Amino acid sequence: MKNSDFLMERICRIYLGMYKTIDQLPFSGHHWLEHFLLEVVQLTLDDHKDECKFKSKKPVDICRTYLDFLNKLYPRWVADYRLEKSNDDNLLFDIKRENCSYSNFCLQLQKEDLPLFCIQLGSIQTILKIVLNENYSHSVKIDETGICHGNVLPSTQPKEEIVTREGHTLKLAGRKAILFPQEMYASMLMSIREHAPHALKHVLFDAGYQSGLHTIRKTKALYDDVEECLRFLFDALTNSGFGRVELDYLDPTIAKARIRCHDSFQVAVTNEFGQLYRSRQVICDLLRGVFTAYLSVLLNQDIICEEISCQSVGGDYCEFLALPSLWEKGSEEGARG
Amino acid sequence: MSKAYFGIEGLDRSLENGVSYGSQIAVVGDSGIGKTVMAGEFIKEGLRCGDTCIYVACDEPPTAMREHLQSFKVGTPAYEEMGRLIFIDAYEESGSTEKYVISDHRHLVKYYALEKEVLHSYAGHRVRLVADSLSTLLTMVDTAEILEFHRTRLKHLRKSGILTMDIFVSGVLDPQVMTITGHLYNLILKMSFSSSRYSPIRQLQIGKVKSQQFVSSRHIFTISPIYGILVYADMGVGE
Repeated sequence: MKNSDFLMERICRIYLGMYKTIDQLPFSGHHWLEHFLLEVVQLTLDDHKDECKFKSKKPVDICRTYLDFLNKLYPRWVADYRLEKSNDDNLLFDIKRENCSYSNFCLQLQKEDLPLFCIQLGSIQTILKIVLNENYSHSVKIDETGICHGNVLPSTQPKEEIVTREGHTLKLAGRKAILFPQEMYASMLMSIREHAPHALKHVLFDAGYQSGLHTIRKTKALYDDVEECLRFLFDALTNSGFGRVELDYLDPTIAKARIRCHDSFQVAVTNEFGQLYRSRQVICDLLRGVFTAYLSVLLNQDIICEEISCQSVGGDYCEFLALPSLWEKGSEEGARG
Repeated sequence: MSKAYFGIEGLDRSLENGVSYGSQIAVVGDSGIGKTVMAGEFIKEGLRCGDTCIYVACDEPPTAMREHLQSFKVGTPAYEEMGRLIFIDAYEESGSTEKYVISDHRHLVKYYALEKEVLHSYAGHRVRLVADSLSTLLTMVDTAEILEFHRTRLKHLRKSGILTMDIFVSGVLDPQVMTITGHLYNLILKMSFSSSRYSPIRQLQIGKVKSQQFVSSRHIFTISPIYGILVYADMGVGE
């Protein structure tokens, strides 16, 4: 084996190892490999400042410039590719797999039945991000003759849920974040229970609702489809450690949704640090508030969500049912007789 | 069997061990004091604890309680869809859209039959029943019939393990009837305004009737549009 082949095989192995550990890494998000590629491509450009000049702002020209630059650095790095603009402004990229430097990585994904991720296309969307500051995503299919057919398209989805560190500042989705152990969270709850027990469930609901509003207002604009948006948000909650949140049922026409949360963080804290209330009852008001905010904004009407089953009282999972609210703000009459 | 609470911290703290399912609670209070808010708190707590809650609306249409609960962020549509929150309309004699309606308010027998029918359909469930206010249904009925109705009904509810809250507006029923009736309840909550130099203060007496005497502890309470009833447990004064 030539030195260069050995090194290429090692590089593919490194990518494979990273790809397979994405789900195991806390806060890695779905776009960890893309963030990694961003650094690799940027470093490559920095190392060869004068050798790669982007004269055009057309995506197809930018990609060709970059790929040709790579082929100049390393002959046949991405050999005999075909790149063109489709009618709907996407970029179509075809290459024989055997001509791609990362074919070893790609073959291993298929062998292990893992979802396809194309490093070559990942680099292409990355160079577009660097030059145009626009997000792109890609899809790829491999036909029976071994030709990869890639599609690079503008993406409205955020690619920033990864937790990053900038100096001493931790950031989640570009915003300052804090990571603390459950002991601190439990201590806050227990303190509220001690000093203002009447306020506890309201504080939790309202905290969830207000933070949910912040998130959904930012996310809603990125998705046309309510269900797609909800699934993205639930993945983000799962990724952040709230529990495995999944959408069980949604009918936007009647504004009804059923949501499940397996292994709720709130339940785990209560089980370990003590019950929040005198009686055994549903306790996931924080999530209830979050879901109420998400659905009210997405369905554009007042929705109210209830936790109808909770793992803290013996359920297999926590279940939430959301329906339109009947109550109109301002109709409250205050104390009743 | 687990104990039940009201979901009102100061009140629950006073009760220490809560109340058993099958107990009867009488809430007696001045007009406008917050009896319906008390009923709402009791229902909210029940819904969170997995109980089936049945609310008999005598003084206002059932929707008034729906709106009241929703103003406290309670998802009544979800609970109603699951059959965990049931309304009996004892307010509108005609034109009600509710599933359960009392067609003739003057006949206690008809009320009792409907209440039994509804409760029967939730047999095996942990049930809270609230009649708000029961005194409205009893205004046109003679004393003997009221006492007979109470004895029969409360006996049945106790036997069925129903946690019952009956609400009475102060001054509507004859005091003697109220005293006799009081013996039948495990817990009595008296809500009243007390005069103050500056503004009326809400008082809650928590107790029961023993040898024709109401033995209670007295507490001050307020009503918050966010938290509901707030009872100052530590300010209780034994009577």
